Amino acid sequence: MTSRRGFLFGAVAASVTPRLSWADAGNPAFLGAARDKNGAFALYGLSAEAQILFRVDLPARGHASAAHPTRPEAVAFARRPGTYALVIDCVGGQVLHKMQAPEGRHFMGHGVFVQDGDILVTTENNYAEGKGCLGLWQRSKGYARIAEVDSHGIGPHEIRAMSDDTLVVANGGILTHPDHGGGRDKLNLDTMQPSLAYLTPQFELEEQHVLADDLHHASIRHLALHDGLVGFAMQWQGDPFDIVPLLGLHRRGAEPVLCEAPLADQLSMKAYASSVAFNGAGSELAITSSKVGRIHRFDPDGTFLSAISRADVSGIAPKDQGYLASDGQGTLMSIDMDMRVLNAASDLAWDNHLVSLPRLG
Amino acid sequence: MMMTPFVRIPLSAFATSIVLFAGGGAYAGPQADAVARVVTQHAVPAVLDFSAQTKALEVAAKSDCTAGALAPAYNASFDAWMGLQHLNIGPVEADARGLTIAFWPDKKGMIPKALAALIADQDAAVADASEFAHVSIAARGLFALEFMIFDDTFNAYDQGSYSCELVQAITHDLAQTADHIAQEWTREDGFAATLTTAGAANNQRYLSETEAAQALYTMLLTGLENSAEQRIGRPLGSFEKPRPKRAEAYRSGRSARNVMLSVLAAREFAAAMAPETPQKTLEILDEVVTKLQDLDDPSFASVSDPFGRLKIEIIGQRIEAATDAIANDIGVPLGISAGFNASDGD
Repeated sequence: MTSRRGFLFGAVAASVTPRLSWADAGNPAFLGAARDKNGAFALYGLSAEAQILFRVDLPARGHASAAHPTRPEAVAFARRPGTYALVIDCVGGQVLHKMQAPEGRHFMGHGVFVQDGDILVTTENNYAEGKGCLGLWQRSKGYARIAEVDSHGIGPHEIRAMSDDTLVVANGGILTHPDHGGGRDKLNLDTMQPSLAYLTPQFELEEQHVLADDLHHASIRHLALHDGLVGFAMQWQGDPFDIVPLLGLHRRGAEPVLCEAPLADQLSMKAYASSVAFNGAGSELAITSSKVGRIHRFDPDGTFLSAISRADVSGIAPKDQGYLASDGQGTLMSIDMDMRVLNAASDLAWDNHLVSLPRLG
Repeated sequence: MMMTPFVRIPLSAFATSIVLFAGGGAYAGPQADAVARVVTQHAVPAVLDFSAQTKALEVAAKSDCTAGALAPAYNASFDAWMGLQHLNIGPVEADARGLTIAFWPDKKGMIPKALAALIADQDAAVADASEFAHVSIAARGLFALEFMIFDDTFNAYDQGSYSCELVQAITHDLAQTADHIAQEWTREDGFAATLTTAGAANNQRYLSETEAAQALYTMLLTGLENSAEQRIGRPLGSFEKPRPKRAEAYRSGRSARNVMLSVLAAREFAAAMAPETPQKTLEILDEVVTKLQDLDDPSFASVSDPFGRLKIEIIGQRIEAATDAIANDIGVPLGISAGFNASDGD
């Protein structure tokens, strides 16, 4: 005999248990955090043509997010030195789970799923010990924190997974502590040593690159990945008028290649790169500088291609053959042969990053 | 303060064919009005003045290229640039022209190296304007000229020498760049129109009046910040280690004058942009001008002296205070603020 309660439970379970895919979430193609006109922060799901599909409120300013490879689920991270991360159901737009960084650690704003989406890896500042670490959280155990491993550098920021689950970590090198300047004061500029680290699927250090001594102020912060080629974007901690590379390219086993635009263009970036992305075709990659409102495009061989001006531009992600870019004035634009405005929701200020979602049915 | 004689060409001769869509009907609001005022009262006159002065400099170099003869026209061009340099958007930002005109700070000493190399090689690029437009930005623009005219290792050249041709090439290139900027600002579908038709259906550059107002507002603030942080901050260095040789244009004794002209440009800009007289802003900027005049130290050499240093530091602080006043006098009433990501990346 079936009780009413049992029947209802069964019905709900039946509608939920069949594996929901990204298609059930209306096929969002991008995630982006923004501040709205009331000053509230939220995460937005965007269609392939940059129309808003859903909005989920965030308790404080967001940064980037990690998308599950198959399920319509994403984890939105607080901006440094935030300690929350929200697991979001991208079909209903609800918060499924709230993750809290353990004592003595805060999130760095980025994370990535590995092991077919069962393990979420988060970059964290172990400020209690003044070192960087990666938190491992198991989805099938309700996002329980199951382990913590070394990031092999101070200030791990963006992290990406290669197709074989090898992890690439941008260790920015900058020591911060929540007690100093709201967690944003830089405490070790003289000795900082950023690195690009590769970790095996078992989280062991496999390969690590440190730039030349005279570039030790180049904080390696953001990453893009295409076909085994890693693009890394840097934020110079020295004089913004120094002539320094802001983009590097790297393939495992090789030496990093540093890329610069011609002198005047390079200086125009104010030694700062906000985000980096390959275009959808993988035929080029681009960095943004929100400080000056400029996008620089490069060939994967390191040759500078061109510059685009757009005030307050920061987020960039692959879209079709080209890119989708976002700015603090509410604009989402596609960039390919030309620049086209897809959405001008001027009451939103898009935050640093756009994240591309997996395009599975 | 000491002044060099300055050649001036009346602007009216050039301000003939400007087409503006100021506050055009459907799009007029307080922000659009502010943009239109900045364009007509501040930006376009500055663009035309710079083009006129650099043209005069080019003509002067053709008749007498020697350093002593060229200094007044050089100073007039640099003065005109100070009225424009903060408007680093549109035609000035395109192709990084701002840096081509004024390559500073030259932290690696690239300018004397580039000039010395051209002179040593008797590089033929000076004979061909299109070729010269592709030499290093270190050998072009106002700061390359400053070396040629004011630095003892470069300025003892005669009429007809290679250095003379080089100076003529630099002045021609500079005038060309200025002319391109003026054309691109003022032609019918130029940047003045782009700003004043912000929000119109066919305007892909500025999608709303707010965007155009915001873009100009950012330039106003950035211009003052640059004067405080770079023009004043660099020579100040630290108390233990002042850096007088890092002052902008100290060779031509223009360091203080450049700060003053940048402040006067900001004053004109702010007065044009503000919906009501920006009382506090003008008060602070006027105070800065007075302090600079009282300082009587054209190249900021007194950063090495504790008392002189303090005076220069205070000038920098007052310029920074002006940016706060601008936020209140202009940002608040127009509903605009500094960029969301620009001021606060991660």
